[in-house]
Amino acid sequence: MKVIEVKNLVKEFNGRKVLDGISFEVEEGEVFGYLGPNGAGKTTTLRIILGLLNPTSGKAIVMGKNLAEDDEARKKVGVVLENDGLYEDLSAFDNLEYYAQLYDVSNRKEKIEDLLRFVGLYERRREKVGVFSKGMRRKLAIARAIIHDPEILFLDEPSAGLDPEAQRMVRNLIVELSRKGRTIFLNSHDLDEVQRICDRIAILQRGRLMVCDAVENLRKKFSKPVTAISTTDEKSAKRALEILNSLGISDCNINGKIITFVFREDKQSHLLRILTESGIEIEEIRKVTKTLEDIYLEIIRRRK
Amino acid sequence: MRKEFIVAKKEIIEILQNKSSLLFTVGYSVFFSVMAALGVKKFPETIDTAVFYIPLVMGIFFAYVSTGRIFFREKRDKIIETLLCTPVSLRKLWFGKVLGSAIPSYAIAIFSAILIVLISSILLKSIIFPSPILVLHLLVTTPLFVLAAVSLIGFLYLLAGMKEVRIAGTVIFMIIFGALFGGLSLIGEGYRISSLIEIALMMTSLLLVVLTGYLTRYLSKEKIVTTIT
Repeated sequence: MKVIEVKNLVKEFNGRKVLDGISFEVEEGEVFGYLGPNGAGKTTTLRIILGLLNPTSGKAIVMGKNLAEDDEARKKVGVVLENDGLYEDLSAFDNLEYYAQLYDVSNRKEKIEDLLRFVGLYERRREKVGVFSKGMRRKLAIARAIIHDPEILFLDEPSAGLDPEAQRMVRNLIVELSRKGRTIFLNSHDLDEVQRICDRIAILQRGRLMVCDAVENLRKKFSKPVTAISTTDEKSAKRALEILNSLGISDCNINGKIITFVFREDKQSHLLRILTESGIEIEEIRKVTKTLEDIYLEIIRRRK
Repeated sequence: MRKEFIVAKKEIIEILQNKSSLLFTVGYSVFFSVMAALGVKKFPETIDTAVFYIPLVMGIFFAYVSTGRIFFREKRDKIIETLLCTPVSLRKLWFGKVLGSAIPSYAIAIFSAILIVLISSILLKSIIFPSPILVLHLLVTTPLFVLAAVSLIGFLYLLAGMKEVRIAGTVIFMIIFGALFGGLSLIGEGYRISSLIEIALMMTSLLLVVLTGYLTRYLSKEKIVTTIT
């Protein structure tokens, strides 16, 4: 079932097109990564979906409703935006209680305490948020976003500015929520994070959607069969390079004693024999898999 | 509980949690009330003017401080974006915040009025009461006036860009003060607060509240979000 539908979304600010015909869909229970460089239009898309901005044309529908027009529909959605949405002078408990009241949550006390345990902040529930670290605030913001048990969670750069440990905590929290069946829309810069937790991703560049697919499908689409050979020394590597060039193998790169080149996987044993017969000692031969970062950069550069 | 009251309650709790700004305002209130009471001791007939003027000034002063905290800071820190994603309409949010600022501001105004009457009575060694028109002023006009000021400043804070917003709030604050000083000079002779002045102030306040309430129709989430940065 489609829970988010974005169709031909266009947004202009003072005649400048920030979004140019964006369309994508997010399925129920999916973790969807929305990627793009600064200024690509990620936050604008998110704001339109959440009803904070009106599209110039096109539409963004969440569970069949326009969040801008339907106050009740917003109960099905939880958000963690750039700011945590927390009040520094209130305690962790009071912050959650305020939002719980706004969302008409029943059994508030019990629910808040459970959530504080879930994010590991129960012991500090009476402390003012102003004294919390950024990681703790982020965790509390996630607790705030799910206080009303939303069906969809929108996260805007949830681990931005956090130290690696806090990043991991936030990531684990997202994975845990995903396991519980929540649909998650993740706006992020962090490709490693997206690669680890997203089922599908969309890459946005200058207001246009470049790709929208499963991470594995993108790997298949964008990966050439790159092989890396590690020789015993640089001299052997140079000789190997000459042999590869004489065989007409293209895109060869040498880096110290490692050579990478594009080559069909099924012919690797044949190539290996030629090299060893030429007296080149090979330490390792392996297939190079493209990371999401490689794919992302390739798409962004292509557009530029 | 209605959503507006939930928002107002939270704002009041936050104001009470912030001891320094509360003590600062209470301190000011005590200072001006004592000064006014000393004036009343010299010229007992000025009690009405003091009770008319000082509570209004203190109420407006606290309203200015608290709206800055409730509207400006929330917009500057982008907390407002998260709030706008809750199932509470923009007008309810605005009204809740207005109440959250107006109620403590009115409490400060009443506190000042009680202090003036109390200290003046002690200094004059007899219990003195303001005239009935001043009781009406404290019970009806003062809360309306404070509500009008908070509504207007709060509305402008949400509507204007971050650069303009501080200036807009200060300008409104100065205009209100200017109007109050102007009003005082109109009262002039004999230090009597006439029913006409009272009714004029009451009607102006009411009109401002209604007008600002109407103007919030033109407030949109897009306007707020795009004026954050």
